[in-house]
Amino acid sequence: MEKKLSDLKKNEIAIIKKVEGDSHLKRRLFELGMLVGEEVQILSISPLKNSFIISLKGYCFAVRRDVAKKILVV
Amino acid sequence: MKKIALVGNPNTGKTTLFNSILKTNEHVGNWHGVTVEFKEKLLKQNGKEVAVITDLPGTYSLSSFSFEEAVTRDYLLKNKDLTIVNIVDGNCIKKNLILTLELIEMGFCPILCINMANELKKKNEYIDTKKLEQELGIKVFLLNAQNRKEVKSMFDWILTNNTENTHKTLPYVDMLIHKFDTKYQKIINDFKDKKHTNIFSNFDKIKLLELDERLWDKFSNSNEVNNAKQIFENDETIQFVLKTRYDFIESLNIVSKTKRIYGYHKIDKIFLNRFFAIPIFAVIVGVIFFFTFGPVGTIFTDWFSNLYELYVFNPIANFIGSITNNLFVQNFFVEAVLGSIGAIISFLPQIVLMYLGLYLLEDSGYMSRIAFVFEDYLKKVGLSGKSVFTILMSFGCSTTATLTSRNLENKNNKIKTALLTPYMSCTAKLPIYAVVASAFFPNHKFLVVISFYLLGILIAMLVSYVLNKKVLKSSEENFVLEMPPYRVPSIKKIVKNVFQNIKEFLLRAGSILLVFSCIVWILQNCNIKLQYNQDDSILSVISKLIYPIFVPLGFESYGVVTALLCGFVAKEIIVSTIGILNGHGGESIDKIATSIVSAGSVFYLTKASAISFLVFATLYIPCVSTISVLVKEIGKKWTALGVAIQFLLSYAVAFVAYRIVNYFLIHGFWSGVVSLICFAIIMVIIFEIYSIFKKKNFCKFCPKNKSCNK
Repeated sequence: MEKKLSDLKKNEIAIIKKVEGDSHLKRRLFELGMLVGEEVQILSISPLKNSFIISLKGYCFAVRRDVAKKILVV
Repeated sequence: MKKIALVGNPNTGKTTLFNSILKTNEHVGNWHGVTVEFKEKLLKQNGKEVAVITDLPGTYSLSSFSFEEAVTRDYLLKNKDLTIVNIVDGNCIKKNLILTLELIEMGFCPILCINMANELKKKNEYIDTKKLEQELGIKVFLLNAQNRKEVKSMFDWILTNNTENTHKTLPYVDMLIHKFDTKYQKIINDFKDKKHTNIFSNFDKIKLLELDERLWDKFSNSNEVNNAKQIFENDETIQFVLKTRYDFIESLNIVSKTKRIYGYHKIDKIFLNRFFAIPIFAVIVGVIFFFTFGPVGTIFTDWFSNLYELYVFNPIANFIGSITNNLFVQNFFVEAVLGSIGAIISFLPQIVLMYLGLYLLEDSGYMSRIAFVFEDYLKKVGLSGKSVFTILMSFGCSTTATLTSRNLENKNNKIKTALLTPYMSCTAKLPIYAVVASAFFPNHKFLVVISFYLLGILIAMLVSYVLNKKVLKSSEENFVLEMPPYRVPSIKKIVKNVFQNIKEFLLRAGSILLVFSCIVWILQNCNIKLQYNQDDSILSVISKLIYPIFVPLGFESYGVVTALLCGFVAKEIIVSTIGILNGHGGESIDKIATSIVSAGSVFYLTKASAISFLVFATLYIPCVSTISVLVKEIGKKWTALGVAIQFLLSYAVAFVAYRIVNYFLIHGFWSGVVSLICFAIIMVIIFEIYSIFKKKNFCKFCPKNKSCNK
């Protein structure tokens, strides 16, 4: 079932299906390795649930909800 | 002479490497007249200049989306004879190698310098450097950028070997070019406007696939070009190129497999927990503040000012007394020179402690966590998580903090962040709190200091919130923040950073502050005919002229206005001015504090006006050096607007504070509390009525408001 990265629960693992957004954002995410077929996991959610720490390719970074919404996962 | 450029992703240790190899001959070159600085330095060996080393800004790629990327790429394109040292972080080498591949595609033969060898060793991880050298056809070094010996041997190799850029084609490039030639070349060849459509290097072809803005902008802006771009976009060519690079890196299989997640530590489960994160932050910052302003800082400050009085102030004052009887000269040296130096210098220990704390947070990796935790809250007031660093730095010095605002990617966020630094209580405002608090509220000093720190933050957030709503809306900044791992802070690095800040502080104190306090002293002690006469001095004439403006705030003696005028130069001068005004120039904080409340003080305040003075001093206009940096960073228009808002706001808040405190003092505590509650209830009612009126544009079909589109 396809859903957004922002809908994942803490510690849930999923596979990236598609990355949306303008070419600037897409490029930035691809550079970080957020490519179709990669495995992502939500490690931590911020106090107001608007930012996430995700792990990808063995390292981690923080993204905002509006960015996470553009990443579709299964 | 070889030209060497350091290229790499942000936070991989470029500057560490730069500092390890070079210690002298700094030459900061400003390029293109913009804020990004290329640091350029001459490398000397045995007294001979052997190479020029350039530290380029950190960049993720060589496309021209962000400013740093464009600057770096232009520089590389112009200087094909460069020797490139590409620094990568061994901990996340796969991600960092993307830039390396781009460099090779561009025709360079970079020397790959894998940093953090020490950390890899500790974690028992392994990188196959031999295989990397073979597959990429470049020289690879595995080292620790902090280790001078290792860095030096790498540079020795670079200097003695041929590092000319021989073109090497990576295995996947042919595939990319083939794809471009067969599928996309035709689209571009078919453009009616033939400008720039014929010659493409392989590098250009790949960049076209990556939808590089600069290359695409070369074509005229017509429908057919936009349509072509859309085809590329629909085909996900950017992802295709990046995936090809990543797949190539994976296929090299150079890294030992691990299950760990780099940057994330078990402890983050607690530190980044939704409920514990903020209390933990509060405790950590509380500890730093307690050390700085509580007993530890005070002991150091007292000890320091005693030393100064004993070994500098008294001997020099006595010496001057022995060589001249001229009262003017004697007082000038004792009060203006020695006095103001003393007043500034006695706060040195607290400034050191403050910076130590801040750099400890930064170097340990905790600062990025704070940015993450506060991201949501700061977004509500129109800032970003990255603003946290600037805000915390402005507790040290708003001038240096303003400089850090350039880290923010979005222009509006940058302006907002820069404009809020002057509201924060920098270390120069601390003496004001200390003196006034010990004069009027000797039993609640710590409480007073903390509440004015909080006041500054609160007002700054309000200002940012209003600016965000009205003029500087934050566009959706693409917030992606890398999490650095926790590291044991490097004592050497922290001491170096603190020392750098202290040096700047002392230079400022020794030059601009000293000169201005001498000028203030002269204005204070000479009349218009420049005769030694304190009774109708120039400054008192000016202050007497304008002080009625401040009477509503409760400043009923001109000395208060004089001190605030001087504070425009630097907030540090306020306290020394009070001292000079009351004839206690250069004496300890306690003596200045006693002089304020003693009879005949020209700095007369009541308890209520003391509060309003502190409010005003906390919030009013930034000092000269901060203004100059603001102009540089955000331009004249925003600086002027920011300063104007700040002045009006400080006046208003000080006025309200004065009235409220006066009310409390006259009518008693409980009566004051009741009145405040009544006032709050009235305000809430007014606000509710206002919002009911505002909600008139309800959807006609359902109880939803404007957001309903039916």
